Amino acid sequence: MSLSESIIKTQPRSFGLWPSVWRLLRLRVRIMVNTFKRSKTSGKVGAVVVGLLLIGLMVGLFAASSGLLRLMRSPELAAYIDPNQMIGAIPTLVLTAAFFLTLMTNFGVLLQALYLSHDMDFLITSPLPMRAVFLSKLIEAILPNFALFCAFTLPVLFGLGVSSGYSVLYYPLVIAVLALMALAAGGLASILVMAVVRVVPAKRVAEVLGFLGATLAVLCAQSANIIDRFNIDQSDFGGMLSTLSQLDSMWSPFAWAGRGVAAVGEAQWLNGLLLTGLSVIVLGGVFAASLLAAEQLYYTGWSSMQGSARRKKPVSRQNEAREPRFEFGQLLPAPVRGVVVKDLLTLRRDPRNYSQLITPLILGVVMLFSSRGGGGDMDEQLTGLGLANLEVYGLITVAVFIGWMLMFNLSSMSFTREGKSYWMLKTSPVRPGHLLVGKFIVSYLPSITFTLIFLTVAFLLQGANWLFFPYCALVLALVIAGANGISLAFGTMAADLSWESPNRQRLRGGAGCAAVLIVMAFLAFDLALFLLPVALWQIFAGSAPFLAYLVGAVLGGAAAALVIFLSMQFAIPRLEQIGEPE
Amino acid sequence: METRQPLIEADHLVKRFGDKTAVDDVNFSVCAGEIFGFLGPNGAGKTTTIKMLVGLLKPTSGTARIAGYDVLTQPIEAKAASGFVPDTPNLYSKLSARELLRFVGDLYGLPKELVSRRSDELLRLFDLTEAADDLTDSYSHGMQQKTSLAAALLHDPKVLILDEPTVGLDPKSARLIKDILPQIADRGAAVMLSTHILEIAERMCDRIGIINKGSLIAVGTLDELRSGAAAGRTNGSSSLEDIFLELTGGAEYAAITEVLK
Repeated sequence: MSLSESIIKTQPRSFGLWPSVWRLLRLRVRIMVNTFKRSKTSGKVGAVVVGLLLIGLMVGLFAASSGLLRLMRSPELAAYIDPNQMIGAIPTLVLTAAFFLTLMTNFGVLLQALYLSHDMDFLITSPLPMRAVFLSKLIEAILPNFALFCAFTLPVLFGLGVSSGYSVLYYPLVIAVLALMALAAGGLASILVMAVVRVVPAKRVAEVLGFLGATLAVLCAQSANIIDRFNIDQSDFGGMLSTLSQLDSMWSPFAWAGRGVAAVGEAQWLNGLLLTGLSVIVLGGVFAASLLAAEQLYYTGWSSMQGSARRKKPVSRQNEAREPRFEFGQLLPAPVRGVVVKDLLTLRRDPRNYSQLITPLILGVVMLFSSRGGGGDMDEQLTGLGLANLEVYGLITVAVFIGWMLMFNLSSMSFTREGKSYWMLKTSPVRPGHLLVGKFIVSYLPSITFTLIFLTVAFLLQGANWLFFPYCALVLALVIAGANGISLAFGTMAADLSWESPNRQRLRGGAGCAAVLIVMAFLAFDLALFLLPVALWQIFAGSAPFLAYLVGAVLGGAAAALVIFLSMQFAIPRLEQIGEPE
Repeated sequence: METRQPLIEADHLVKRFGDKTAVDDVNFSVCAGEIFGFLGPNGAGKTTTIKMLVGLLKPTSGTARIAGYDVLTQPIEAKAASGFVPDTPNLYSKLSARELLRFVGDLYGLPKELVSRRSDELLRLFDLTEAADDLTDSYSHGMQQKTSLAAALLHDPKVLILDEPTVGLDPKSARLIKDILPQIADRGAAVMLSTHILEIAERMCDRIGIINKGSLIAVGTLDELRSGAAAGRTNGSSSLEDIFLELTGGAEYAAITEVLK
């Protein structure tokens, strides 16, 4: 009997749903273990450190939750809210938050798992139940986020249980309800992903998500500053807590779950088991229904048939698209122009790049408003030294910082961003100097444009003396140009073209960190060269004549020009190394 | 043929990656008007050799010359004379085919009007006019491959190097490539292509080079290979497939076939 005959005659072995899910999950675990085993030692150490930190955080949260409960019962807070009502609402609030956060975070993970990981076809054509494939995909997507949420929510809920003397049954029930909540949220997220992908291509959705995620991260990071600007006082805080506690409404399934587990904890068995059972039925129903619907929608190809057919551009639009606006481009050599137009088009068309723009702009606005109040004692001391127009020094420092943030990523990643398409540049007859000039313009132009707009707005808002504006603009233009040269050189030296996902674009080795340090040192040094002559003249002579500004411009400008020249000399021989195996 | 000027020259080319020698002392030349087929099993060193010829990889030793220019010391002149189509297109996903061709035109310093005219011609030739203003990330593999070929032909190169150009193409597009390459060679260009489809090599190529484990083990016309004159190892096999399998390890393939029977 030949091999093919023996394969055909062999009775296919059918696996049940759960053994198949287990097989698929085991495969994922194997991949994770292999990835960990083959990662660099620094990566392994990093993962272990993160794990330990997470455990430490859980312990800290557990301890803090008892403190939180004491705070809840403090007379200060009791003036605004009923502590018992608030404490009773904690399980509901935590479970509601876990549901919506899982829904949001799983959207991105499921988008990747179902449409961008490219293994669905392989899995669906294997002799495993399709439901098992979907179930395992859901579990794979949910597990990491679920584990993370557990790390934050379980210490709080367990802390509540310990401090309130809840029964033993409370603890496993909390874990079970949390897991079911995450599964239901994951199921709904999968339907949501399919509905969105039916309208917008998956890749585009991923790009927009990347942008939104980065913007949200910046907003969260700056939340303290933003809240500070809005002057939220204690009564607002009490109001917010009261609003939150209203989520614990009898009509909410999350409240059934929250109140149910709390009632079980308090040994109110009938009430507790009834409410918990009700929420389990609803959440389980949502999960089962969404799993079945997702499976069907995926298999019938519903989500792959994008409803909005691509509209054909009218001829006039096509012609318009042929001529990107780059007014002074004709003055540049053709290869430089080609690189600039290509890079500006590709940057503009990927929404993820806007997050790099948003971050410094949000920071800029925050810093601008933060600095409006003045520097207090520091201002008085500096004015005492004889320094005039202090706001200008502050503005230019902030503007340089914003300019650096805008420029650094564009510049240091300019070659890495080429990725696997770099072969087109490397096999074309472009002189290294032309290529570098093109890349320099691509990172410099948008940065300096936005920074100058920022400076103008800052001058307007601060009511600064406009006589200083030309000098400030010159300082900005030259300092950012010098910094651009340095980061471009680092980007040439450590370009990594091997990325698969744009989110993984980075420089090789520790070049990114080194570049940040050296660029920052240059910014401080060059800024000092520009501003010190003016400042010293003001301190020692009472005011700064034109000569002071001239000396500053010559010193700072020469330093910037020298740095650009040296950076280009450093980068040119390294260009041919880009893309060569290490 | 002997009097024609060699436009592609590999002179004792060697490429080592650490301890592994990927290409070991490879010598061959391709003359103007000639189509040279470059064959070899997976991992034999075809793509590495090609990458050295087009300037994507620096040779460990030896010289690669394109149109008489050393790729290492006169890269601008060598690259200006050549067009390259890689095995995986990897185009700029956020550019349309038309924008990509305009970009390539700028890189080669071609006049704007010429780029516009040539782009329209090539897009029409490769049946890409309809999709010319769509971003290439919405293209199929075959469309990307054709865009890549259009980009390589935009500046009417003296030397055209193609790495597995028919992979992923539908029969119509594959036929188009088979029709175009002889025309390019007839206009005096040197064409070098690597392929796994022996029928293409057999039908289209004037000469064939077979590389195995980094070494060029046979070079010549099909008749020369058939008679065993080129390598002195073949035993009068009739088809290129037989010659290829015999030179590169046909016994292994035969064993696999036996198992599958």
